[in-house]
Amino acid sequence: MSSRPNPEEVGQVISLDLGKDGVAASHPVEIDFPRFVAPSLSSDQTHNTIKEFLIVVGCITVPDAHFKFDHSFVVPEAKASMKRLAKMRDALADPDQPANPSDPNSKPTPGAKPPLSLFGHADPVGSDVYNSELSQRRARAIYGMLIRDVSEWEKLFDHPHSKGGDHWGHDETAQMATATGDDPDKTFTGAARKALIAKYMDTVCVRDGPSGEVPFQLDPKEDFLARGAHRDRKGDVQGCGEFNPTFVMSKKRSDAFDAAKDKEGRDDANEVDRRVVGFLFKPGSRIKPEKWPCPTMRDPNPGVTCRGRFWSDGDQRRKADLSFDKKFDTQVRLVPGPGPDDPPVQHTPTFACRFYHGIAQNSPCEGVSKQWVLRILRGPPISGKADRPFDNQRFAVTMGDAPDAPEIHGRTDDQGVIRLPVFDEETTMLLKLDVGDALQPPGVDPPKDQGDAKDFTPFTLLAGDLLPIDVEKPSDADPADLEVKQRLFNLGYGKGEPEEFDDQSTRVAVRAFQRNEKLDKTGVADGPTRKKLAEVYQFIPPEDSTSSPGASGSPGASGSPGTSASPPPASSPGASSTAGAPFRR
Amino acid sequence: MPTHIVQQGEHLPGIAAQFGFSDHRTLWDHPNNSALKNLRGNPNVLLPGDEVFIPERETRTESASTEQRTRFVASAEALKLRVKLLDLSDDPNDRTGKATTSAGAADVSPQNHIYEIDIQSTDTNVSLKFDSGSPLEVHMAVGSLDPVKSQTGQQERLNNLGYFAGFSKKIDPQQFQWAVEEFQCDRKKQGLVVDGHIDESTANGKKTQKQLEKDHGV
Repeated sequence: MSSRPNPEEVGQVISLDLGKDGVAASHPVEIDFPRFVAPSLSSDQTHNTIKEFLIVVGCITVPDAHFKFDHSFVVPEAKASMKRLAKMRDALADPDQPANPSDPNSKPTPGAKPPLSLFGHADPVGSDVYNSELSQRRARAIYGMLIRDVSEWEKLFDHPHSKGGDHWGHDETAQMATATGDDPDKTFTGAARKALIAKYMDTVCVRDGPSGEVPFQLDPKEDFLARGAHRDRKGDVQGCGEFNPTFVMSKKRSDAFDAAKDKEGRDDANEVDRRVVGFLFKPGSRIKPEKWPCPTMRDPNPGVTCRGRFWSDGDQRRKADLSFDKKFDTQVRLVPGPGPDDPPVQHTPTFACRFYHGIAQNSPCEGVSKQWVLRILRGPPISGKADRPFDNQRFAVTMGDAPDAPEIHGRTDDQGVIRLPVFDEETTMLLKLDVGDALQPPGVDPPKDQGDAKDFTPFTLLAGDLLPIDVEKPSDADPADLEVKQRLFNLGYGKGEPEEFDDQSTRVAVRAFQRNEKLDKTGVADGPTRKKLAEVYQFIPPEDSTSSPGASGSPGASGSPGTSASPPPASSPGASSTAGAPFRR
Repeated sequence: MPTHIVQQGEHLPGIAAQFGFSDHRTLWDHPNNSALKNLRGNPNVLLPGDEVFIPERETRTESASTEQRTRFVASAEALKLRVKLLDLSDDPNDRTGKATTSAGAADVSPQNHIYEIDIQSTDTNVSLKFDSGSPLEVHMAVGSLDPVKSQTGQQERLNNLGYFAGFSKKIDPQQFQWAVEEFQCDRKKQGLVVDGHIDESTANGKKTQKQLEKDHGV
């Protein structure tokens, strides 16, 4: 949708735990750009057609660990996923969105929630047909629990997977009974099983309330993308089978696993692909099921429907490929590399389904796309004082210098961090910050949001110009190298622009940094100083990290105007730039 | 005689007004512009870099008495901006909104699902805003739409139709292919094959281009 969001309308960037335990993240920004149109003469009949975009505002992953292995049963650990979903829905609610957008007279109802659509996924082991059905059953299990439809789970009990394997029986009732405090050895049938399912759902599908956990449930007619308009929930729930992996093995590795007797290694490696992803769409979004290309949640042959939406080279995208072996052992979107310390492997699209690619390609839940990561601090740096992040403040960024460049609105997080999508690895960005309260002494309440982004204080960022800093390089460079000057400048040290730091002021800046960081005040950018500088510059407080370790490749950003161009340290693991104190001049 | 090189955001009625012509047809129908007319077809959809021949202006003599104020009004061409708005399910958005042009804001209601907004030939930014129901504001760059034969023109139309093809005038091949294939996929009934081609070198590409122009409306 092309509406220009008021900064107030844009949800705060939040992101919760990642890794094997699942992901929940807001898609950080809302992007606005003009639509290009042609005028008409009175005499002609031409017109322009403008359609809303389907906008994803957030996502949650229910990871493999929250299901019984190779089954669709939802294990008690899934509680963590449900809590995240509840939290994410609250955080992304739109205060100005009417509850019923199809009614033109409906008044805005504060807090309309983003509608959800669930996508089940399987790993590539086994047949397409088996995996399609399993991913569908997993999505149904989550859906049934979210809307408290006990009959959906009864169906899962009564109708095992048509190809065997996934079936619900005594193991499942025993697990539920254990979680609800009932007798696991008892046999549950009929009304007793129904009651057990309902109780179990209330145990697992909970949110954090002021006085502890409380059950929550979603309304099938309000809280899903197609509003439950289709009998079999087309648009609300679907299984994608194995068609959209986030991780694809190389042929070499895949063959080795096939030859091995023990499949545990392979199953572990593929774990990341076995997931249910819930996408949250912009509040007010609603689709008609008949316009939705994905299968229903009871499609007997969902793979056929999915194939109708494949990329023209869809099957190549998802398959192990010999050509991968030349470059990588593992082909992944942007999850960590083969070893624990390896950098993330190059991003390559792996979704066979083009429609899903459009929704999920840049989702933090589906591998991590490259981002510019900026941490904004209040300046100037003060010795012995902790960083003072420019937290929870509005910003607007123009990406590029074209007159119609996209503009991004948002709010810094608790640590002053801004994450921006990378459209160009080298670009000039104009960052505008709402400094309304920045000059207030600490302890004074910041004023309420007011004013327009055009009144914000502007900073020019030369994204991609930051030179990489090699901390191993033995250097006693005096005066300091440009990469050192750039970082000092961004952190608020020194006078003028980095290229123009003269020898004397460079030494002063280095010494000031050394003093603040309790290093030897030599004024020379020696090894320990370079190391500390790199550390301080990259530092993002861990509790705020939105990325799994090493998964966020971010080109460096330099706040220095006129820095000579150099390639960004592409895909450097966990790299994040700390933009300097903006108010020192 | 001078030739004008078309810049981003320019259309022929605007160029005509800029050079003091009250009717763009003086330029459009001029024999020296016949190649341009044949190539573009629509005077409102030119490509930056196109060359427009600017003929000599005719001198007109008007009599006026001295000692008396006489008003000469240059007649500017009336232009319209006609827009059809669709929601996520391709249903038309039919409600009263506010159109903002250089002349100010005015209420506008759709006729046959099309909003018609009176604009000046100098208007480049127009917005359409709806406060009732689901809040919506559409910003439009008037005159910036390129011909459908150009890749940027294809990108702009795909974006307008809800197939995100990349940001303004920059072509990301992957994103562009995504949009073309999605567009083709939704129009298999119209005989399009999903192959990502929209250039004129293939029959399917040609057909896709035609369909895109038709569905967009210009």
